[in-house]
Amino acid sequence: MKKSFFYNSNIMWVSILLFLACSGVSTGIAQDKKSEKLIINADQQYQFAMDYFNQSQYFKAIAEFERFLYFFPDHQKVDDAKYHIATAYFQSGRFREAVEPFLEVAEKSTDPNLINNAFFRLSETFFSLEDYQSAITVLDHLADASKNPVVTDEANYRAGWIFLELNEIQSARQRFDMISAPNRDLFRMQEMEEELSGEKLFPQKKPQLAGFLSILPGAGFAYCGRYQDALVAFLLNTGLFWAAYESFDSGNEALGGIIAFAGAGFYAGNIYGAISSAHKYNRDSHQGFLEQLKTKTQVTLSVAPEKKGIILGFRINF
Amino acid sequence: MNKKCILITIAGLIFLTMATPCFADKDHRKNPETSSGNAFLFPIEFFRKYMSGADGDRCPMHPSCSTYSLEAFKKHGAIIGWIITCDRLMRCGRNELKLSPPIIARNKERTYDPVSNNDFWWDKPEKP
Repeated sequence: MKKSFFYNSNIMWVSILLFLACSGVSTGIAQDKKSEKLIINADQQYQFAMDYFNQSQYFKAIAEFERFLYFFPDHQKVDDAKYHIATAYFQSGRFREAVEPFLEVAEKSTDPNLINNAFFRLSETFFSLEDYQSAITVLDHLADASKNPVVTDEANYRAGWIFLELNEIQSARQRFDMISAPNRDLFRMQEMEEELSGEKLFPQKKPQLAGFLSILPGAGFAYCGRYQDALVAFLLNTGLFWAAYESFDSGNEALGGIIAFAGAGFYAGNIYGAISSAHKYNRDSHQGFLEQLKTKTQVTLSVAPEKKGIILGFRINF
Repeated sequence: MNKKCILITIAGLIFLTMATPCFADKDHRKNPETSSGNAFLFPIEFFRKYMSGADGDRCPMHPSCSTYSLEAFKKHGAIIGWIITCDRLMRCGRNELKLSPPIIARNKERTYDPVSNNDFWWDKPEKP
């Protein structure tokens, strides 16, 4: 009897354990099946891409926005996604790849704010690619097409800054003059006019004159304010010429030829260096002037004054 | 002066002028640090390999004058490369130290003065 009882109770326990194990497995399978059925909707996918974008993980953001475009091609945020793809390319320095999506949004979007932003960004992209003609053309097109005076004025303001960067002061002044009267305070035009009012806005050296003065070794460097370089150029060149002359004069033609060759290089280098120094002086002077101008007249630009749809506020960063 | 020596000097200059295109090719412009092996670069490479080590890393500029020279030769050819090198040798360690930005290079603060800082004005951007 006892044996039978134990025997039966063992069977019972084994049965209970088997039952529990099976139910556990089946629950696990059910959970797995549930997880396989996880559905991501368009908003979740878009938000996921935006999270990467906001974290400045641009390559991941581009991939996720493209996934969004693939699975939800008819969604209302398609243009926004394309705009963000282009912006991600721009922010990561891949300017050439940014052009096409910006252009696509600018041409095909129905949201005026997005179109304006795309045009402005496209202009910045061309500027970064040093295609200044296209940067200006894009802004001109926007200024002509837009019915919003703030957008038109901002296009002219940005064009003016591009001309300033290119040291085309007169063209910059013309662009700033085109900004309409009600918005002149918004773009701090009074300060800008004061800064651009003088005849000579920043000191410059003439490269041709520097090169010409270098006929006398070192004089070109001295003209550019490089007195140590000037002294070295003068001493080195006169020394080499004198050494070459002495060598030839004393019958050491081979030595004279070598010294003359070296002397010719240093003489030409003295001219080249003077011209180059004048260009560097002008570049630095121009950059200093722009930095000062940015500090005094910088404005925060926004192309969505009505707070409708997408809003982008950014500082001009040419 | 001996006419023969003058002729040899002129012939040397003409030869360098003729040899210019073989240096200033586009591949060199892309990556001037590689693909050396030209005869004209031999003295610079010889200096870098055997003399610079003994002389010590004393150049206060970055890139160093020899690296700058290699880049200039490869980018602009023999004649202009030689002129740009002479210009750099005259400027090395003087006014440029105050005028160009500092950079940490070769475990020390140097003055940043690449070839592009001295030939940027060759290709002025097209203005609208």
